[in-house]
Amino acid sequence: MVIDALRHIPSRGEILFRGDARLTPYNHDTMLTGDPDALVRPRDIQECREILAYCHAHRLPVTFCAGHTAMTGSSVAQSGLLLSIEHLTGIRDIGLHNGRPQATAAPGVFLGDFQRAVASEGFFYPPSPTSRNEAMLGATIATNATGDNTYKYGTTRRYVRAMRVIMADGTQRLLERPADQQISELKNTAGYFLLGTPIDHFIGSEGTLGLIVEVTVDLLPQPQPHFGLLIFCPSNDVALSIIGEAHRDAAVSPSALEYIDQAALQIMATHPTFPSPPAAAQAAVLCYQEYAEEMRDPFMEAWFALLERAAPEMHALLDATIVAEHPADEERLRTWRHHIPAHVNEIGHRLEGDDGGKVGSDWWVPIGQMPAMMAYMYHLSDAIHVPYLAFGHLGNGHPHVNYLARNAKERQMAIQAVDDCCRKAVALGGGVAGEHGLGKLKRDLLAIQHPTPVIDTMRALKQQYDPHWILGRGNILVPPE
Amino acid sequence: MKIGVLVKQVPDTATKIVLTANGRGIEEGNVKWVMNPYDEYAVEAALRLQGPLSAEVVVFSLGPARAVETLRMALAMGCDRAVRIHAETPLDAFATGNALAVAIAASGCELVFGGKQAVDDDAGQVLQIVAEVLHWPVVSVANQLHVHAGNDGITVHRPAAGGVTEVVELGFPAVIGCDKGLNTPRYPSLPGIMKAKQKPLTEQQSRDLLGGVSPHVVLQQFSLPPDRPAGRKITGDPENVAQQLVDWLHNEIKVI
Repeated sequence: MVIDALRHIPSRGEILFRGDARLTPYNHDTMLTGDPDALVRPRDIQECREILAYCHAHRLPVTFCAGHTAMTGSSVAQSGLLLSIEHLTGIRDIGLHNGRPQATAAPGVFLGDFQRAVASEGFFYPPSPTSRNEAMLGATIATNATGDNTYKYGTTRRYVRAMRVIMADGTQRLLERPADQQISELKNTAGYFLLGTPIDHFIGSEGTLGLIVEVTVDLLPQPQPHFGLLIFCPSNDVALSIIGEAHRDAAVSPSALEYIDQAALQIMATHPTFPSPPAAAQAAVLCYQEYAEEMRDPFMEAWFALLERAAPEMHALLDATIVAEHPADEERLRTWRHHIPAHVNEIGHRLEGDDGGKVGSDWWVPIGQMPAMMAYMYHLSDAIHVPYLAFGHLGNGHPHVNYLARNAKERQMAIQAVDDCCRKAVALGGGVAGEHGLGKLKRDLLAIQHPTPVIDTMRALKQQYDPHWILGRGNILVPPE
Repeated sequence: MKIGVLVKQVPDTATKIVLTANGRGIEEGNVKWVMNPYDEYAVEAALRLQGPLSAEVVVFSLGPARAVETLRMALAMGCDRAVRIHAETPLDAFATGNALAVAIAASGCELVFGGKQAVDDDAGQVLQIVAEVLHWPVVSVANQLHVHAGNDGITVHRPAAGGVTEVVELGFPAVIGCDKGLNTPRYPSLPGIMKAKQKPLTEQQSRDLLGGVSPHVVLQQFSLPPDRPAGRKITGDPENVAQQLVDWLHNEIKVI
């Protein structure tokens, strides 16, 4: 019956049905494989409206997908209709509006292309998830994406000024942020963001409240010149203390502050262009420092002084510190950093054959709680004897801990470890999912983050926006029976 | 022993080149300047011999004041001192090579490394002119080298046509042009950058070195490559489109 209804979807393009080989690339994200009944790829807003109105009337579940880089299965459909935003492309405008630099674009523009386009007009759009060249702009808003420079520039939420949304019933709404609204700087706390205005409900809503078909974001002036430092450290503890110190030390002002622990450094070192690290290097810190022209040398000196006093064992490693000051060098640093999750995902997929695989975390804590949280995580993770590594945005108290489970038993233990860490993170004032969202795979974490009344408020919000629960079914909340 | 390295500051290869209004130069406003990538191999080659030959490594660059950044980078990588040669008026490869040769001779260097060419003008002449002025042998496009056991000379490998490798034995003094693959250039370290600020960097004037030698070539004009012509769009129903495509490939492009 579902298929019958799907055959008459008012799509002007071809509808692909289950069994069509062309559907295969749409069935997966990074972590989950789905099995949708059909796929549509609308080309304009009107077509989106007609499709959603039809699905609403026929109670057909619709899941939105974009670049397939989700870490939670949020863009994977287990059944029903998959709607790809890939043809909703185009940058409508880049320029000044009421004195504010802004850009308006369709959601299917790749984030990296969007950033390059605004850069060519002399502006800067900061949110930079690792997948920025594969992720689409609309999807980065639906997940409130962050990246290494969130340390200085905040999350996607800070930049979203307005969006055009198609509601579950096919009606259209223009949501605008009031000019005087204070925007939350918090990393995500899982589920809907209840503190702001309606536009905030949609930012990070993982395709469950409506289809974003156009967005207007604030832009910044081109960033200042900067240098990158890859600092080799004698231990995880020293790397963590350097991150804490860099956060406190007023003499430095990093735009990104990333942690690479011993196991992650070993993976980074497998990249073919990575220089062989000194034997004493057991962990690393990757940071970027922006500077006004005359401040380059004082900042270099401040970083040098910070590292010199960090630990006596650091002195032997200081000579190995890599400084990237030119675009090609910086690109190399980014490539090595990107190599860690890319390589881990590969290993994870290989282990899936034995019912193991990668189990990743996305919890975060306020930076002041970072030492206590990391001590807890390492103690807990060492005890279960599942190989693991930790890397990522420690400047924001937000590492990614990836367990590489070799079998089903280890997988369960790793999931339990992530749950335990999430509880601890929440107890310390943090969140269970800082940037990946919950999707289908992590939605159990919602109850760790929020008490029942808050979740009930979220369910009521969902009910209000999408009365038949057709959108992004299975993401964030369990649909009613 | 003293080893010389010749470096040139060039626009980063990702730079979008914009010509000045008169076409005699490029707009420097948005250019990110870097060390010529082939020169990085030359710096690394020299630094690897610094210890074994107990050598002082002196880095030279003929360029404007901003070339100091590139010299500082070489010092940060580990070179011992730097010399910038300032030219009041633009010099061609011949005059540049002459000025550098005189500075090298005065410094007492016996072995000189440089990149096989600079990626800005790709002329690839300066090393050979330096060697000619000094009456030293030169081997360029070196992708492997070994110092002789007695430290009295050097073996250099260079690719020749047809996949053949030429192996050249040289005594000192000599000039060697370095290619990609010769080594993996080190990154400047943070302490290296700190120390580089204390290392000697002297300046010389090209007119003092050239003693009347003047350029043979004067640059007249730059021009950008012509824009790529617009593509052709074929429209119509599938049969018609296929017919147009076949006609076009057959009659105009002549590939079928």
